Amino acid sequence: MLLVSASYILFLTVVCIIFYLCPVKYRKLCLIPASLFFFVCGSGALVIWLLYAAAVAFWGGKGLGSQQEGPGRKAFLVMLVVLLLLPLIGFKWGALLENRLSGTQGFFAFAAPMGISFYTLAMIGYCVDIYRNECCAETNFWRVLLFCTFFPQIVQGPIARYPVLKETLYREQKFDYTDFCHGCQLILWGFFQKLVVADRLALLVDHVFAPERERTGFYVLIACFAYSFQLYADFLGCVNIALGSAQLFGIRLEQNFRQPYFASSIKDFWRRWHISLSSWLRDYIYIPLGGNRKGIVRKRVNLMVVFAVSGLWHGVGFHYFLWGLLHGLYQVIEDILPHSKAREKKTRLDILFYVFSCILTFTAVTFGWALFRADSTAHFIHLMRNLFAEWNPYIILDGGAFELIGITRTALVPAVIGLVMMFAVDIMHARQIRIRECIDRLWMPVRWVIYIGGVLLVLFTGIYGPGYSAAQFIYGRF
Amino acid sequence: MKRSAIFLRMIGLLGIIGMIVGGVTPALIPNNISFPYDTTRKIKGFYEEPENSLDLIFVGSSQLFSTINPAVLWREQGITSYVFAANEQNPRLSYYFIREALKYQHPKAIVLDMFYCDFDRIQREAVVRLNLDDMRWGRNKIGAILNNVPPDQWLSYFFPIMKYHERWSSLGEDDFREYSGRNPYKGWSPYGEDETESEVEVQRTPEEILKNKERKELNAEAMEWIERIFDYCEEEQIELIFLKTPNEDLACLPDGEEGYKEVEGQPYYNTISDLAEQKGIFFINYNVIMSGTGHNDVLTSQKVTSHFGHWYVGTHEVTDKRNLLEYSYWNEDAELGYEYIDEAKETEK
Repeated sequence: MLLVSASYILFLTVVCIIFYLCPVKYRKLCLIPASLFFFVCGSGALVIWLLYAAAVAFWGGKGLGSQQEGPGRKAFLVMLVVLLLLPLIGFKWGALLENRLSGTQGFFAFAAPMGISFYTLAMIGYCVDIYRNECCAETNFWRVLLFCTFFPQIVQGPIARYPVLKETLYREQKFDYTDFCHGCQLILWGFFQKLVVADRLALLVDHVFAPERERTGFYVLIACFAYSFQLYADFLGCVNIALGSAQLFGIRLEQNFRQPYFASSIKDFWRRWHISLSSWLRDYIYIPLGGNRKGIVRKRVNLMVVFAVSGLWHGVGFHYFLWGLLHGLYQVIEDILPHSKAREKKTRLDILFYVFSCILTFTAVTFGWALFRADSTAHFIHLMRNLFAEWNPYIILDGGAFELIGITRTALVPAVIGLVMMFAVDIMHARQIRIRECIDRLWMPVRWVIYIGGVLLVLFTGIYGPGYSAAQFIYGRF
Repeated sequence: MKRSAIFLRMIGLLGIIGMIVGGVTPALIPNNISFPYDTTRKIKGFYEEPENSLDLIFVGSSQLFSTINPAVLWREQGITSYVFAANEQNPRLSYYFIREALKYQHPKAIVLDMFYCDFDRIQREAVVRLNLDDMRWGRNKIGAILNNVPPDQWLSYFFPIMKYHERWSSLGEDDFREYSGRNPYKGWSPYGEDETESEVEVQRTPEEILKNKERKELNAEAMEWIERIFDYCEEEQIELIFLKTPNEDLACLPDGEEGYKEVEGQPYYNTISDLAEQKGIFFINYNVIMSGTGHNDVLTSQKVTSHFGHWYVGTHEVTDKRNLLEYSYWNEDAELGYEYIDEAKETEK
C-alpha cells in the first residue's frame, strides 16, 4: 500500500473511525493491528522481521535496564546492535552479493522488508538510549511493538526517538478537532508535493538520467537541478503525509526538514535535511567515536566515517558510498576554510554573502545528488562528461529541451508553480510563521476555498492513476 | 465543537469536492466525435434511437461496423437496425453490449460478430476504455468493468478522473461539445480502401476456404462468454445469429502480454458452425461467400449488407417499415449513408 494512493486514504479513514470509536483507554492499542496490517500489505510475510526487531529491542532493552554498569552491559549492547543490524545488512548486502554473483536482481532485492533501514535505526536508538540511561526500558511489549511498527513512519521515517515519541504515542488521546484538521492539511500538502511537484519533475529527470539516453550540456544540468527539487518534494511530501497521518491520532512525529536549500553551508544543510537521520548519526556514531573532542584530525576522520556510514545506509552501490564520502569531504573542506563570525546586525554585504553561500551550497549538494541519482559511479562519470560535452543553453528558450525530452511545457507548469509555492512556504516557515494556524484564523468559507482548491489541484494536476508506475517514494528504497 | 457538526462539515466539504469533480470529469473523458461515425457518436447515438424501434442489432468489432451499413438494410428491405459495436470487441465485452442494447430495444435478432470468437483474454486498456467510456452507467456497465478490467484498475473506471485528470492540458474543441441527437449512420463506419496489411500472405478465395474442414477447439473462456450470450438471448427470447464478415479468412487471437495476432480463421469458424448447428441458430460466414478485407470499404460493405438483407428476408418474417410514418426519419438518415455509397461509386467510375 503506497502512501500516495486511494487505498491508503481508505485505510487511514477506516483506522481513524475505529480509533475514535474505541474507548479512550484502548485507542492506541488499535494502532498495532492497523500498523501490522499496513506492513503486511506492503511486505507480506516479511512482517516477521519487523516483529523480530521489536522482540529483540524489547527483551534486549529489558536486559539492559536490569544490568549494572560495566563491560558486560556494553558487550550486551553490542550484541543487541549486531542482532538488530543483521537483517538490514543481510538484505542490503545480500542483494549486492546476489547481483554480483548471478548478475540479476533476485530474492534479496525484492525481499527487503518495507522500511527496514528506518525501524532498525529506531530500535538501535531505543537500546542505546536505555544503555545511556536516557530512558527506561519499556516493560510492556505492546508499547515497544507500537513504537517499532507505527505505520505512518514505517515507510520513510522520520526515524523515531523513543524518549520523544513516547510522550504522545502512549498518551490517552481524546479527539482534538484542531489537531485533526492540521493533520488533514499536512496530508494534503504532502500529496501535493509528491504528486504534483516530485512526480512531474520525475518525468524530466528520469528521461535524462536513463543510461540509454545520451543527453548533453544543459539537458544534464537542468535534470541535475530538477532532481534536487524532485528529491526534496518527494521526501518532504512523504514525511508530511506521515506527520499528518500521525497527527490525526494526536501523535506528534518530529519534523524531518527545516528549509534545507536555505542552508549556507554543508554543515548547515545536514542540520536541515533528514534531521532524524543526521541527529541519529551524530548521537549514535559521531559522538561515540569521539566527535570533536579528540583533536582536529580525529574530528575530520570521524566526519568522514559518519558520512561513509550515511552513504552505505542509503544504498549498497559504491556510488552511495562515494556520495557519503563527498559530503564528509565537503565538511572537512568547510572546516579548513576560514569562518566569518556571525554579526548581530546584518549588513547588505552579509545578506549578499548569505545568498551567495546558499547558492554555492545548493550547487554542491546538487552535484552530490547527481552521484546519488546515477545508477553507478561509471554512469555518474559519463553524465558529467556529457554535461561538459556541449554548450547548449539555447534549449531553455527555444523549447528544444521539451521536444527532445518528449514532454510538453504545460506538463511542467504545475511543477514549477508547486515549487514556487514550496519556496514561499519555506520562507514563511523560516520566518516562524505558522501557516496552519494562520489558516485556522481565516473565515470558514475562505478556509473551505483553500481546502477545496488544494484537493482539486492535487486531483487535476497530480500524476497518478493507471499507467503511473513512479509512485514509490525515493527514500522508501533505503 | 460537537461531533455531529464536525461530521456534517466533513460531509459538506466532501460533497462540494464530489460535485465539482463530478461536473468536470465528463469534459475530461475523450469525446470521440470529430467524424460523424466516431465511437462516441456510435455508442451515444444508440441511446437516441426511439425505444423498441430496431429490428436487428449488430454487436461486435470494427470489422462489423465497417461492413454492415444499416442504410442499405433500410433502403432495400425496410429493416431498422443499428451496429452497436466498438473497436476490438471480444465476446466478454459483447455480452455486456448485448445486455445494454436489450435494456432499450427489443429487436427480432442480435447479430454477433465472430472475428474475436477465440479471444479469451481481457482486452487491453485502450480498447476497453473505447468500448466502455460512452456506455451509460448502470448494472451492465458495472458488470462490464468488473469482468473486463483488472481489479487494480477498477477504481479508475468508477472514478474516471483517475485516468483522465491529465487531459486538461490537451483538451480540444470536441471535448467541450456535448454529443446529442441520433447517429444517422446507425453505427456504421464508411471506410475507404482498406490499407491494413494482412499477416496471412496467401489470399484464399471463398471456394478454397470452404474446402478447409479442419476444426480448432475454442478457448474455454471465450466459449463460456459465447454460451452466456446464447443463454441470455434465449432468456430474452431474442434470436441470436452468428456472423463473420469477409476478411481473407482471419480470426483474431491474443498474443503476448497485450498484443494480438491474426491467424487462419476457418478452423475456428468451422467450430462455430458446429456450435451454431448444435444450438439451432444461424451462422453466416461471409469468408466462404465473398471476398473482403476485414475493414471493408463502402462498396464491399454495401454488397455484404445487401446480401445479408436478402438472406434475412428470405429466412425470416419481416415487416417492411418504409411506409410507416413513425419511421420516416430513417429515410433522412439513410440518405446520408448513401451519400458515401454514391461518392464511392462515382470514384470507382
